[in-house]
Amino acid sequence: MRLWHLFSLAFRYFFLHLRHYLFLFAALSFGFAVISTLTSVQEGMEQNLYSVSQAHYSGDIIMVGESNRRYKVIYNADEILSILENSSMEYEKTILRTQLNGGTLHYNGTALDMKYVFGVDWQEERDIFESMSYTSRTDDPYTPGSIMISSPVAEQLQARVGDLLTLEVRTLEGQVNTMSLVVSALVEDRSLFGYFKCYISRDDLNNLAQFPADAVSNIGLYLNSNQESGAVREELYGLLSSEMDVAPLFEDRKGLYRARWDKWQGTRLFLVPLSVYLSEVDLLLKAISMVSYCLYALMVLIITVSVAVTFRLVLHEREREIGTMRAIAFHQSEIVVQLMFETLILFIFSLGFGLVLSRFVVTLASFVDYSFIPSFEIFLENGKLTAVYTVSSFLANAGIVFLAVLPAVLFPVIMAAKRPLAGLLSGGSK
Amino acid sequence: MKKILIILFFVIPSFLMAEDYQKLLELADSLVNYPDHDFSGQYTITQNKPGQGQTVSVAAIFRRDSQDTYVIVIQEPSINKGQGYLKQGRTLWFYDPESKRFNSTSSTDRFQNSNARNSDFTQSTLAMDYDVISGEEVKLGSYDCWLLELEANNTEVTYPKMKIWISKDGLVRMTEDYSLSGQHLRSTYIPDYYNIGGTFVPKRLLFEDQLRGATINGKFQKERTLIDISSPSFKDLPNSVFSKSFLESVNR
Repeated sequence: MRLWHLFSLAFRYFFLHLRHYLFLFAALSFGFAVISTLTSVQEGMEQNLYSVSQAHYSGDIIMVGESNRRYKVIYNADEILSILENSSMEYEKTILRTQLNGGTLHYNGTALDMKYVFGVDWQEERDIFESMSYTSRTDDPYTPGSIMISSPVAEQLQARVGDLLTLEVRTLEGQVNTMSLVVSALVEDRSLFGYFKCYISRDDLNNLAQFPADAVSNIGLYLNSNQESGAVREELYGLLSSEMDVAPLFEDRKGLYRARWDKWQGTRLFLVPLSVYLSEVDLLLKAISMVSYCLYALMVLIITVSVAVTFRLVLHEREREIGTMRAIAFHQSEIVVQLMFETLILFIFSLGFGLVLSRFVVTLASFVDYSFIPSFEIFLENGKLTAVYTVSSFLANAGIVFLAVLPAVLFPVIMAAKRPLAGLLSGGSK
Repeated sequence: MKKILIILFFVIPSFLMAEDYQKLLELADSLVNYPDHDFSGQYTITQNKPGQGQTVSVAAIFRRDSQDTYVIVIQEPSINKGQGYLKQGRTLWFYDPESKRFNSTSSTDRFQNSNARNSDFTQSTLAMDYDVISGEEVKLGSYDCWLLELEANNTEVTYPKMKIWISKDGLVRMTEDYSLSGQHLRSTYIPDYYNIGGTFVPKRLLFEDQLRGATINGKFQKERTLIDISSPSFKDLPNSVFSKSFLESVNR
């Protein structure tokens, strides 16, 4: 009950002395806004990278058919899907893709080499394609005989939606083959993943590259959001390895290369977690994290120092009031508790305002064009910087700021409460 | 033998059967293959990209058909000087003097980013690699020719389908190269040959890309590569020429 009285008193005093707390409020709010922005943007960038990679590599775990053929190929996709369907294994969905590492797009005399040509089941992957951003597209771009290219590719070819392109590829056996395809959509993807790639229907690509009709290059497994890919991969290995040739599991890119050096007959299935492919940009992510952590630490230090200095001033201006409280029989500890309650109220308001400020900053930042930073597009969602605010990161940030602020407030408060009454009432500094 | 075959095709021009067409291909191959001699020559390769100007490369070619090998050394432009190709059976090596490394490349790849392919520099194996689908007698400019439609019987060749114009003297005058689906990809013109003691060497080869080019002043102009062959020689070459160390030593 006593605490409640102290809290309500602190609440009234907080608003009474709002003018004194204004700078402190501004410093704390700004500091928390910067920290929240850093962590949420970093999480947003990582999530965007993961989503882009997931769409590019076709899932969280990718089953790849490795052989000595020109392209990766799985001849028994139906058998694998049947094993998965008849098992108790949980996953969100599977998608099938044929993929060629190379091909040339021709339009009106201009030839542009593609890094990847994807053959996709339009209907199965419709949700992925619907979530993409397009410069322009037809009403129904998911028709046989159509091709989706990225906007930069279209710019280089000077092609528009509706134009007829010629796609030249090497078949599975190595022969040159061509197909005329109508541009059905221009994907607004200027990232490393999107630049030199195009999508056509899997039936068209199988026909063009002379794959058997039911063959694919890889089977992508999308997991539910709460699933951990390591455990699912082991379960998958257990399911498939008794039925077909499956490469031993590996955890990183070096492991993948080592597994590829092995010798085998026919096709061997590799179960590649997305993290292995993402290790290509791991260094970039680490560099971003390092910069982020340094800024974070610097901001916490600035908050601590500014709070310590400002709070001393606030206490100095309230010395007579503290003295009066002592004179009317407030115990020293009650004064400490009341002042700490005031600080807590200030802290909570600062967190709230800091969060709002952070959202505002992120919204402003999303309008900035980041194309001047090479390869930065892979961290953006449809070309925009996005932030992810999670409860866990909010609590972690709040906890860290609280721990940094606590000593900067608590010690001056204890010192002020302990000072001799005469000194406090006379307004002296000692 | 070559003369008998030539006479044979002169005498019975209109009634060739499928097996005769195949023999016609053998004749065409035999006229430009040199199993009994080494061959060397200088190739001046002029690449014309509409709207982008013209680039000229000079290369020395050394061929030994008896061992299915060739060596190409790039002499000009200076930026590519010393680059080289060595064909050893089915393997084609590309040597880069900058890195001093050999990398394997494909005979079906473009030669120095021109409209010629690496396979255009090796011996002719039309009769071995292609089956004749149809043939007819046609006129090509001033030449009376056999026009043969060919389909590859293996997957190693650069183009799976071809049309080929062979003049009555057994020389290939023009080819059209097609993709598996029948898309016309490239035309090759061979108007003149050197006749060196009954053995023939093209004087000029003109490659015209059907897909690459640019629209200039409203008219589509195709990319073209002209190869002028000079100083053809059938003198024997040292064995050391057809080796990696030769390409390395050229740059020292």
